[in-house]
Amino acid sequence: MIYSILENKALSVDVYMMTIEAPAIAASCYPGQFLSVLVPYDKSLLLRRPISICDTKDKSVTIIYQIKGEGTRLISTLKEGDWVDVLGPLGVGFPVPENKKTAIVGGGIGVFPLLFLKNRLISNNSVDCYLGYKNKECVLLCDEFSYGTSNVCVSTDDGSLYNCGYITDFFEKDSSSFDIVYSCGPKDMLRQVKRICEKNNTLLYVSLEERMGCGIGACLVCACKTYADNGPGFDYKHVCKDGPVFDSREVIL
Amino acid sequence: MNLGVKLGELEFKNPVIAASGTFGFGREYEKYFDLNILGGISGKGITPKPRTGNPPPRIAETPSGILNSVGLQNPGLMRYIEEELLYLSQFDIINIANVAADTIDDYCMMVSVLSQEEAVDAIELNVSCPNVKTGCLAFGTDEKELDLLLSKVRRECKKPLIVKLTPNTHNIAKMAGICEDNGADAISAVNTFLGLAIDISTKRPVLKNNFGGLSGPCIKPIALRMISQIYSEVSIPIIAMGGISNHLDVIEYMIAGAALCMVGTVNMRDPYAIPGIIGGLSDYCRDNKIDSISSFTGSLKLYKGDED
Repeated sequence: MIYSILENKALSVDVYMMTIEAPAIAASCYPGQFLSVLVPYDKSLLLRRPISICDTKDKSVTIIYQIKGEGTRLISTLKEGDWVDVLGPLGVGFPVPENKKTAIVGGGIGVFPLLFLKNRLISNNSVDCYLGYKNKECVLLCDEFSYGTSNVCVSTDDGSLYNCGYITDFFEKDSSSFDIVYSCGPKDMLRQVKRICEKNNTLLYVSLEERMGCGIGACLVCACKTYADNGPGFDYKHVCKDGPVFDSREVIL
Repeated sequence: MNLGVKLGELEFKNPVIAASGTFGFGREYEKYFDLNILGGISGKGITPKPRTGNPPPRIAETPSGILNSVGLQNPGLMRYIEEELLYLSQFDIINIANVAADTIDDYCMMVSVLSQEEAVDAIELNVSCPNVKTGCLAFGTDEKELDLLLSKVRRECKKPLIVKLTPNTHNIAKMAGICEDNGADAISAVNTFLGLAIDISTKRPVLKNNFGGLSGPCIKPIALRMISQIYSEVSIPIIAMGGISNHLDVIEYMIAGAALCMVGTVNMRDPYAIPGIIGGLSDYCRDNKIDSISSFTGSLKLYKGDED
């Protein structure tokens, strides 16, 4: 499907935010789902780029993406009024409960999809936010997380802004008080969050990333390791269709 | 104008078949278009037992291509029959079961079981998967092994038998000849080319399996040459594939010798690609007053020696 771009602007050196006019997507999508964006201008880049939904308004959907290579660089050159070929919403998102004490733990580029989740959670739940970034240049959007939430804790790995250290250390101190935790970010961070939540016996949902092909569950390339349904051993599920959001008890990180 | 193609007793509505491995068993694409418009579907390759497949990453993007190493992840023969075949049987399309195995006995067992299934219209023998460590490709690259395998499989197979060949061999036309000699009903070619993608920052392969199978438009000229060579060697029909991304590619392959085509990698880019290709063929034939699309098959006039 082709959508009109309302805005595509740089938030930092390599992080961009694109908003498209897409009422049908806005009305049907859930936090944690993603859009699959066709790379413009260069047909030799065959694969779409999966990008998580960061927020929606009545008629528009916003995604935030980092320039990782030529494909995302070309996407970043699209201008307001241009058309973009997008599939979605795709994948399984985060479940949104009621009357729960929730925490969201995000790291790096993984912070942004959690904003959409936060906006949905705050209507019926208490939400604490833990946002970790590499350094002060990477700190983006943390102000947006303060609206409607009880507490926002921000850290940078090098201490160049806010708290110094890994965000999981700050989360761990408060971790026993939550009913449900949601996390998105680097795999090492997710492993730590999983360890902490297992210690506290807290329900945890993680959003995973893997190199994708079709984005709709047919080609089976975006495999993530899961515990076998029956008996010992492991199996592979697929991030694009079975995820990207998984119950952490299901996946082997 | 007629887009229909006959392959023995099988009647395809049009020459476009969804290629094995890129299309699952069709379920995911049902959301995007009516599967009944397809000429046929070749389902994900199945093995006697379920396979978990290779560890990720399983895909790398390369110029005009992709490299994959899924490693035949599939639900296994029994679940295929109970779930996927049942699902596929609701569609009025030619349903091709793609099978792979490690041993001749396993190939024979699968072919024999699937021959009893009414919903299976044809069996495509995968002797060309580059992403599994044992069997499969070994049969497709060794003339004697292929000969032995096919002589035994043919006796068990009560359905039209298609043999899917690998391009990772020095003489694909000769392998096609062995298929014909053993009574194969058709050749499908080509499977993926073995390739490598490297991450220079880590000095490691992008794929966890190290090597993977290359597909997409980058392989089209090589695959097209191979189809032309196979067409010169055998008289059984050829089902061609390799980087088809539009209806003109299909016509090109048909001119080179294909009776039918399989469309794979482009589905990953655009789930609406196949309806677009079928529509494109229909428009092309109408505009150019082509009565039967099959008239393209093998119409290539190769240059001979000092021809002016």
